Amino acid sequence: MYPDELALHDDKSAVSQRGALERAGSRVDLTFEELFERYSSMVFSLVYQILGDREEALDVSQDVFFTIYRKIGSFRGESSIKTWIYRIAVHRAANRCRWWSRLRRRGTVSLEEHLSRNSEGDIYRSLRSDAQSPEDALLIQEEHREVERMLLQLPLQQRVAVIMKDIEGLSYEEIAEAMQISLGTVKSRIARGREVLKRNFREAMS
Amino acid sequence: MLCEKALPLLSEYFDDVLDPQTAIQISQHLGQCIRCRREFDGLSSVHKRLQALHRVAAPAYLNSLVRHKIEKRTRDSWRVRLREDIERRWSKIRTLEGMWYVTRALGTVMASLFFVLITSAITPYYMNVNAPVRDLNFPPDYSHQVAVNLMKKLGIPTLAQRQIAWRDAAISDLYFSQFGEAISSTPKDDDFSVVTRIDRSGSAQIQNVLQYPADENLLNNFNAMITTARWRPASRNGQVISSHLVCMVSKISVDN
Repeated sequence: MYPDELALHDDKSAVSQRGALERAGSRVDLTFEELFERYSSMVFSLVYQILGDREEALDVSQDVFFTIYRKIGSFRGESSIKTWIYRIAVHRAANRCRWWSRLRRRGTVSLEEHLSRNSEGDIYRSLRSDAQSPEDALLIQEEHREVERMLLQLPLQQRVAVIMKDIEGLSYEEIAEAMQISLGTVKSRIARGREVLKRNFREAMS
Repeated sequence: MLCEKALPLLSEYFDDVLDPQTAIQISQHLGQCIRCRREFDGLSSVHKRLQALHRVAAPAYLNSLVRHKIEKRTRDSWRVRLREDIERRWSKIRTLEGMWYVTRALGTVMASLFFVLITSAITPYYMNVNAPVRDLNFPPDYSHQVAVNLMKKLGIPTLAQRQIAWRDAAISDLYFSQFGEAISSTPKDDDFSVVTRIDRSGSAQIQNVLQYPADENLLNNFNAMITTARWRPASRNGQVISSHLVCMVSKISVDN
């Protein structure tokens, strides 16, 4: 367990963190380690889909769990722990995305350029896919790359909403809570995002 | 139901979040309208493609990375944490679009101010490096004249009574000498005579006193002057003469 391991280095800090977890215990019946086990893939996958880059996703995921570790004591239980974690992950990923966008606007570098140099995620995904043969794996990889590329072309807020709905399978209410927006805005963002994707897929096919 | 009304609701219909009555109307419309049916199929296709991007599992070492981050943060002193917090907050501020221009403008102003202050803070020794240097043929008693002018400037009373032929002598003209060459070593000089060496770094010092002056202060003053003076490579007609140095001291004017 994290606090026990930390106790080897810094008793006072570890005790205070353990206290925080215990205080949060009435609302979260999980230790930090259990939270990590349960939600690490969810967080990593969501962040990866939003940013489209494995290294960036790793970096942001670390930030997310570090934030969870620090803020777990102040979690008030107004929403489910899952939605709370989603909210942190979306917030962090969106911030990183905006940071890239600013760099692009200044002409320094674009996220697409960065991603074109880091296509490791596609390979990783294709290896994990259920393809029967190398040819199938390649086709699936190409298909995924195309879908990811089109996802990345969506405006950030629409992208996040579409990913949470169609890939993560969250309900409209959960998305509204995680993104801290109204239900109507969620519906509109998802509808617009899907519309753009549909148009882009058609153009690509034609 | 008209297409204009049905099309915006297709996404919600697909997710099954419409109220039952509207859902029935959309369903009936889709049964009749080929265009809307095609749009609905398109939505379905988008959904299938996105669903095919199943979750990417987090790498096993993410656990170690998070643990390392937490341990590091726990071990850091309050100073490190404070510095990181400030850096994080500052990075948030400066990455704001409006603030970016403000910080850049501030940086430019500060840099300009810095250069203005630096240049005004230093009192420059004015010396045009490219200015041609006269190739002087020193008269035999020229070094004597140097000493006379110097002592006059230094306020040595006995020498002030001497007749000084040269007015406004520029001492920088007099130190156009080769390395190691004696600047003032004329035996006829009845005041003092020294051998001064200048190395390539420009530092000068009296190497040998050939003849001591009657007033010891004169020698000390001369030594102080020559060791604190600045030297630069000599130049002639715009060409640097690396074998020679020129003493960079202010012009010394001599009164009668």
